[in-house]
Amino acid sequence: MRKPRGCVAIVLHAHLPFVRHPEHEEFLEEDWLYEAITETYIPLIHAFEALMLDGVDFKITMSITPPLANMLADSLLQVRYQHHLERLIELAEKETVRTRSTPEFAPAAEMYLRKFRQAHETFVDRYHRNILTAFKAVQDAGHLEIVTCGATHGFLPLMDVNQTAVRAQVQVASNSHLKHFGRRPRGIWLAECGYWSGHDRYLKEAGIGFTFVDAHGILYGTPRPRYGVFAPVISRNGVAFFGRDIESSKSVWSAEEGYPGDFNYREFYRDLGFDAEYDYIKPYIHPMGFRTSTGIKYHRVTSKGIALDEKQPYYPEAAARKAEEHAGNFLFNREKQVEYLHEKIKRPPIILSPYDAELYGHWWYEGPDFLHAFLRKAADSSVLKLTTPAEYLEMFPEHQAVEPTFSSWGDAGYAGVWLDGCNDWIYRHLHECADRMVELATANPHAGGDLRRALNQMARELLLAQSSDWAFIMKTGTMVEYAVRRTRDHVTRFLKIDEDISRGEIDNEWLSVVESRDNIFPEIDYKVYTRIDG
Amino acid sequence: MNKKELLTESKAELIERARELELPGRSQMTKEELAGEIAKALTRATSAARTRRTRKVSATAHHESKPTATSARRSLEARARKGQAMEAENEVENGEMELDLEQADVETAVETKSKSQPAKAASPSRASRNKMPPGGEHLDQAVDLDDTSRSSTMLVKRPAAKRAPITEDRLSGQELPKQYGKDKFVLLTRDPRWLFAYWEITPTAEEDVHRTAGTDIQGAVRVLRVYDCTGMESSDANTSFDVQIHPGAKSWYIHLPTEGRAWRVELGYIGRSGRFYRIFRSNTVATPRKSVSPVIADEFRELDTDFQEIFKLSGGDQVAKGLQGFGGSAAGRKKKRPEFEEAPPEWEYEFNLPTSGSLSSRMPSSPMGIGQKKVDDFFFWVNTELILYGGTQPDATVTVQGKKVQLRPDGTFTLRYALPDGTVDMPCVAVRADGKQKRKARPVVKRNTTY
Repeated sequence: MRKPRGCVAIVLHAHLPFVRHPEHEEFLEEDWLYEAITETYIPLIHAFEALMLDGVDFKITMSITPPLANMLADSLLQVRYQHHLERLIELAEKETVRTRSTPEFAPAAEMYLRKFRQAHETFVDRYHRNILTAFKAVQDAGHLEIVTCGATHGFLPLMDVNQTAVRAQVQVASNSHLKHFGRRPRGIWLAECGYWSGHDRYLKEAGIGFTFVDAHGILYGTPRPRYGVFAPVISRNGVAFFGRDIESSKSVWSAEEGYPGDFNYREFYRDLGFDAEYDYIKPYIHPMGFRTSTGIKYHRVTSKGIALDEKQPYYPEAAARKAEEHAGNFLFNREKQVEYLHEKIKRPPIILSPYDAELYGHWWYEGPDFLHAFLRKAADSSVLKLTTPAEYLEMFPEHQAVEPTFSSWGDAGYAGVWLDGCNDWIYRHLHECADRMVELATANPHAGGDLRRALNQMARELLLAQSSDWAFIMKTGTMVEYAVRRTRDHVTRFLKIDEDISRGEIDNEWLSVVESRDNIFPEIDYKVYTRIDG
Repeated sequence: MNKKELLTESKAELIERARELELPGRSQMTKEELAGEIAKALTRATSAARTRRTRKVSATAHHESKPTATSARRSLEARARKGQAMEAENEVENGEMELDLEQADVETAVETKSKSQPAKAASPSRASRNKMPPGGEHLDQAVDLDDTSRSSTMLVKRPAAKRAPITEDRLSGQELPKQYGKDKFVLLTRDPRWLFAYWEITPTAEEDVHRTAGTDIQGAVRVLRVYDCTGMESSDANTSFDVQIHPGAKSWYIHLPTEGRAWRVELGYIGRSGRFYRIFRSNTVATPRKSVSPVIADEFRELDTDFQEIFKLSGGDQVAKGLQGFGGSAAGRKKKRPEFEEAPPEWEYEFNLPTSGSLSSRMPSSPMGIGQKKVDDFFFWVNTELILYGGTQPDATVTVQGKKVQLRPDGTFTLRYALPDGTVDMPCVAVRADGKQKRKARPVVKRNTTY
């Protein structure tokens, strides 16, 4: 067998903002998690398990962000997901009956019922509601590199005015990662690939050896990166930076040129929740009675630019064949790319292809099948080798010394998505809270009892307010009200505790309720906010 | 929490609870037994709390020196906590599984506190705020919770003072402060060509500058003076330019003439005399250079031509679309934008990169755009469904179209079918449990839609 000419590293960024509302029986935004579990996380687990069962030597990297890990480990959300899934199974059962006389929809109905039941088995029976253990098992088997992310997906470039707060995002994340995955993270996905020059020192300090930036973060680095994005670079503080490969990104991301736009694939926007007769679907949509997506979708993309009601039926088998075909095409293109680049740069290139994990399965329904097929085929390739950044750095430890530049993978490539007329108002509050947090933590090196509880909760509130998701949602314009509310609630909760502390009167009962709601990072220690130099 | 709720937790969590409750023999118990014992213990603790309510506790019992009201309260809470006083009647959280809030009752503590002034020992922005009195420290240790084990159990053992009920409006929907009452001026980098500054000016700062300027403040304009301080130490600067701003503005976007520089901004007034009166000076920020580095390490120099191609392969031609790539000049490309607009800038250059802003699959957004179409076109659709329902003896066997049907406990059943155009034939058969009797029915339904 020939020696591989280069490497391919697939990186899936799995993240959802921390959404948990025990105060409501049902909460629409919690569905983000439930949908992602059913459509993305469990299908990925199934794909990894099938590959392992067949002894396929695959490698893949995933960031499972601390908010996501905290939600997946949360018993309230676990129980709620189980109920959600059980209701979905009930609906799918009815659907297999309802579609009996319509052969064009029956295969899809059967597929949903089968998949939901499998998901139930995986979630409840096999992993006892905690699918983090499933990912951990794939990690421990050496196939999956799990990396972390800023504690609450905070966009660090806009936090730079408070270095202690930047550092805290990394430190809290590292501790949370250790708790959930049994080891410290070796790599980190900086939220939105947002890198600000100098933050590498906090990664280094946390023992994190590599991270990812968008292509221009490396291409515009100093000095010129000799190998473009096809080799990592090492920053002054000794962290390896991998740049995103645009060609492979596009083939999956792009709605125009990408695979997910194929006419055979499932149409995301046409959902039974909106199509079905009202009384029939009522028990399965929002309890307030407005229609929501159920995840049961019977139509395919069909063609570009046609109305939703003109969409044609979805045939799972045809879609699965297409996914297999696209996986072959993706591998073929990567092999060509690797060979060409090897010629050019006279060394084995690495092609780094990062994606939002939820793209696979949730948006692109066949995505997990595609990935499954690609990993299986790629493991047999004589041209390229699947790898993870950690493994690649072990094979090739020396790289050009380059300082990456400020960049993000957001629209226009910098901070514009998160700093815009619609969301810039949040920063004066976030910065003020961060400053107060640092001040309080520094002045209270040994707080105990209620004061410690209060300070720990302030840290949670600050971190939750710092999620880049809120600014992002405000920018995209959907669910804005929720994002505004979350920002406001975390900031005002923070400020109330701050005020209570200053009055020497901690409102215990109130604090208990807030602790029970914003219960992310039970292990947190506010002392992570003790002021650092610089 | 009752036993059933407890059973939704893992065994490890239950053992942890049992440990906190100091239940004897917990390590030998099954999950079922654990849940039962914990539920019992919780009930016991609740009634203990009811008893405790009337008891008076000496406020200073634990103190060694300098008792304060705060530490006194702590002491009371510590005792209440130790007794695991609980009361379920104030259950605040609906649907809360893990952290059922069982309110403890420590009215005595509240009484004590309300009769004395709250201590200032722990108030912020004062040097002493964080030094708890020695007695406080001592007590803190006594009530110290194990942080790592707290997630699932903290509320069970935590007492709370009885006050106004925790209504939703005390937790959510509060207004943000309009100002924080302190001077602040912060500069952020948005991208290579734009900075964002926000500030808060206290009346004192405003008065100070008015005092300095004297009559020169009459008719003065408020400006941001933007310094290019690339490569400069401290307060030195290469060049500067002014941006006039609205007097009432609290933030501003600043358009920059060049990329890859370091900037600092001062907020102040230009008096009638032309003199600049500074209110604040910002932090210094850098903007990235949106082009490849001019720095080429010696040993790579001969690869320059190659680099252009590698740059292209890396997607650099797309990154740099409409911008300075190598050697490319940006001269005359940008139309000058007014610098005083408050609204966020529009983009004069577009990246055609697949980026999360446009393509992210973050759940709240709809990035893919596959088949996404505005639904403002007029549309109309009709559909029909068929509901077939019936009943028999509950233990009979019913098939419809040859498939077995699940009967309700009362022997009835309902089936719902999509009804497309054409003929649907639905043979139904019921067989008595003993197999000795059989009944048949055969509805045939025809749908014919014309448009």
